Amino acid sequence: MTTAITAPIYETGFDNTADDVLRQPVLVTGHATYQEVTRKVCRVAEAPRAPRAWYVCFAISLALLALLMAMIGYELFTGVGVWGNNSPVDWGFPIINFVFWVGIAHAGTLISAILLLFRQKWRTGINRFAEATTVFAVACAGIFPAIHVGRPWFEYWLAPYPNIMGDWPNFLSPLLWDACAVGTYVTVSTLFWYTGMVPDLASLRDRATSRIKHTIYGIFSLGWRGSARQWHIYERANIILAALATALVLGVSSTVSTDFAVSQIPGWHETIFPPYFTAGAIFSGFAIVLALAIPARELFGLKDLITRRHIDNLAKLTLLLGSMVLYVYLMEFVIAWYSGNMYERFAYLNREFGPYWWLGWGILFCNGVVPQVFWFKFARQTWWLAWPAAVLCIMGMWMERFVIVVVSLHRDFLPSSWHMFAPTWIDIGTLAGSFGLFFTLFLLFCRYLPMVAMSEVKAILPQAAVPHGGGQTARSGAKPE
Amino acid sequence: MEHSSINLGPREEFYLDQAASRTSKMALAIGLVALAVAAVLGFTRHDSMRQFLFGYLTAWCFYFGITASALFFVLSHHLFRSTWSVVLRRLAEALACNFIPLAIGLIPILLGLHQIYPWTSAAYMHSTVELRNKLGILNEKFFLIRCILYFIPLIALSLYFRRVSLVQDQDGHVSRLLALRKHSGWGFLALFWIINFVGADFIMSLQPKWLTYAEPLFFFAGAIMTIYAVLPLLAMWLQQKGRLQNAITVDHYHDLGRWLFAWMMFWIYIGFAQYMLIWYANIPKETLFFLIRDMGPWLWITLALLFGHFVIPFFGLFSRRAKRRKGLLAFWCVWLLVFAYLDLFWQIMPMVWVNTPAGERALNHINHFDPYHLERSAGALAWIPLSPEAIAVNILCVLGIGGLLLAHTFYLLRKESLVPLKDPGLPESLAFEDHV
Repeated sequence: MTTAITAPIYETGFDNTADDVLRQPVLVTGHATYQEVTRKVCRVAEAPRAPRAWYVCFAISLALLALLMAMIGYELFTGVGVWGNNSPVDWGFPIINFVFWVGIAHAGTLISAILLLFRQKWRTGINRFAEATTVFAVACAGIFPAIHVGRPWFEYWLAPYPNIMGDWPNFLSPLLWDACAVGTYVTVSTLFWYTGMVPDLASLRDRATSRIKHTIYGIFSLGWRGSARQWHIYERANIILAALATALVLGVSSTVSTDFAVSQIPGWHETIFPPYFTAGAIFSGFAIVLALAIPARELFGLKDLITRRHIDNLAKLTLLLGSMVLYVYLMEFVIAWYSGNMYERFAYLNREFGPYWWLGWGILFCNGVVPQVFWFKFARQTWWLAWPAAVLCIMGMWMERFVIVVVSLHRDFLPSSWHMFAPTWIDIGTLAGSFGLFFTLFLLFCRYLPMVAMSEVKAILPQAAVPHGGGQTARSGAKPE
Repeated sequence: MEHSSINLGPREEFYLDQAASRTSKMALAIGLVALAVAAVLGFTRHDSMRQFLFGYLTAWCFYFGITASALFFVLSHHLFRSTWSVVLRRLAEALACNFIPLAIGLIPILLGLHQIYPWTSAAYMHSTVELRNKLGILNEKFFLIRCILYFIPLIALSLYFRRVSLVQDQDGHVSRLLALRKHSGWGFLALFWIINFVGADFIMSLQPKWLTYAEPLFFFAGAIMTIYAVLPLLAMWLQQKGRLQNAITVDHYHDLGRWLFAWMMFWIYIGFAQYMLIWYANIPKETLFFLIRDMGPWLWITLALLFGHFVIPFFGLFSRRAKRRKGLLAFWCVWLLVFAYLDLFWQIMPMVWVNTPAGERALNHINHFDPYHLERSAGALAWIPLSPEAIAVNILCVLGIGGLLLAHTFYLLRKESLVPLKDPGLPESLAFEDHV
């Protein structure tokens, strides 16, 4: 017997955040037919002109990207002395920025992968976003160690190749682990992002109105036809990549933490650093996805696919991860006090009461206190509260890396070597420029690629559900595309 | 608003009735006898009951982990709005209520504080500047206050979550579930903090000279894994008794197996991070912990832990088949529970000889002159916690406390339904299928 199911229609702006214990939450609003989902996502890429705000943002991003190129060029021609790095703060802005962007990069894939493994259906609205932030953030991250080595043209020395210099990479160095880990991560996260996009690229190809678009989307959709066999392979690949990405995220953020933790410097050498960096990375990732999703859903008319519930859930997860980060901050103080060791205690007292006290308190406020506003539904649902809170979290995570790198270094064991650190305009320009690179790539992604995983969203529409007993479902007039 | 109940089948499938009372009495008898024999054996060793107290502490920490992880299961179920685990929730709720007997079980530890913890000795705490600096934290009064601060919220949370769940069985109001969800957020964070602090207070402070930031989290990781080993075993036992035959399916076991695997991985992740960073930095106040456990017979226990708690079960539990075949899953659950206990044994028991004047002398020797030959100076001391009588005391303590807690669990389950009958998520949980 065939059971006809009529999908309920929830108007745009429908409040789907209510905690209804009797029904599954509504995850797509508006006139949610299969065609409508395709139309809403594709129209961004198909529209002849983007919204005006897109052009403004793109122009600013491009300008910042140009600034980045200029800063890198100046540094390469002049030398690393153009930065504010000094002794004892040998690691300054480049490593701060590297760890910051790696944190952002680690989170996107993890959000998507881990929510997939946890069967969180609401992920379909934001997973493409999250994965895209990963790929673009890792591109930003990669720049900094590359230029920080001073002579980037010798970077191939990192590879263990036979050579007459008798030179061999130091496999006991965490910096080499970084190169391996980040390299693997880039590969897997890009594959994860791209594989998930193939069916949607095929939709764009099939709807393309110009030959050039048809050809380009056709090349990147890899001949996708949507056969049962292709779907089977696709699903399996997605699960395998998700599992790999999850393990890699833990491994890579932990590896980055070892850059610091293998040392003997108080404030760096903490055995909790690997999970600490992982929690911080996921936290900053949720914050950036939240900060991007809030304007993007408005700007590109995706409020039915990235619904209020998505924002609500992202805010709740930001709260959870923020609380984990706060746990580590407080545990650092507790254990430093517990240690009874004067150097350990000094490191944390100096953090809060030394010359960079405002940063010490700043990270506690931004990463520990600010996310706590998300306990309140009002804050989660009010964009002018949620968005600044998310931005403060991101700023807080950058400041946290500054505190780890600079504040731990500037006052080491020997008071005679103490020295303050001040960034130069090259440092600041490079940091600003890296945001330019990130947003340029992100805006191009929004404009030309499917921002929301159409095929996955369709699978969570009410009419796609198969009731127990194997009854067929169909909604008159709605065929899967 | 009231939710209509669903037809679940015969009542006998969902109630233990007499079987619970019988099991409870049997477990109580075994528990009391085992503890009594352990105490007698401990007394005959003429070591001021040190061996007994350390064995007791290890078993107590093991069961604290299981109880805390049961509460973790309940809280995370509500916090993340899970539906697959509804059929398992009542069992976890009952297990979580063991905080009351565990709080009573603290009495021997508090009475034997001087035998267990070196920081209770003023002379010891004034022997170095660093130890003297710790007096603000490591003192008996503050320790007692902390114990009270830990157990009040733990008991309140476990009782509240069980009581409201049982009330919902009666009136079916969905508002009960909403209330549980509302309190799961702060409860989850509070539980997380408390487990961490219990790890720091009860295990890390056994070796006050040791410094590490990850030990509390390491205890947390090891503890949380245990509920995902206990629940499948309990469910299988119930099904053997003819209960929950159709309610708990192979898909539920599969998910429990996955969580077991995931937490096992988290344990090795934290354990490896801690070990590798300490090895790399090579700072005496940190390496001391591992040097003690890398000598003589303890090296074999360390290796057994590495292989038994990670390498072997990693391959054993990896496949889908291992998690979906009850017999195989039961084997890995028992295996990992044994190694979860061994993990605590490895952390706690070396202190039996380390925290003695002879042990202190041996350690001072290795610290300053001969770091790589601790075994030579420690000699037979390291074998003390591994003598047959000592092992017997440990096993009896596990049986003793375990028996008492099992008796309490079945006492709670004797009249109530084994699943939350009027939970709106129950139909979905009963029909749960694994598609991933």
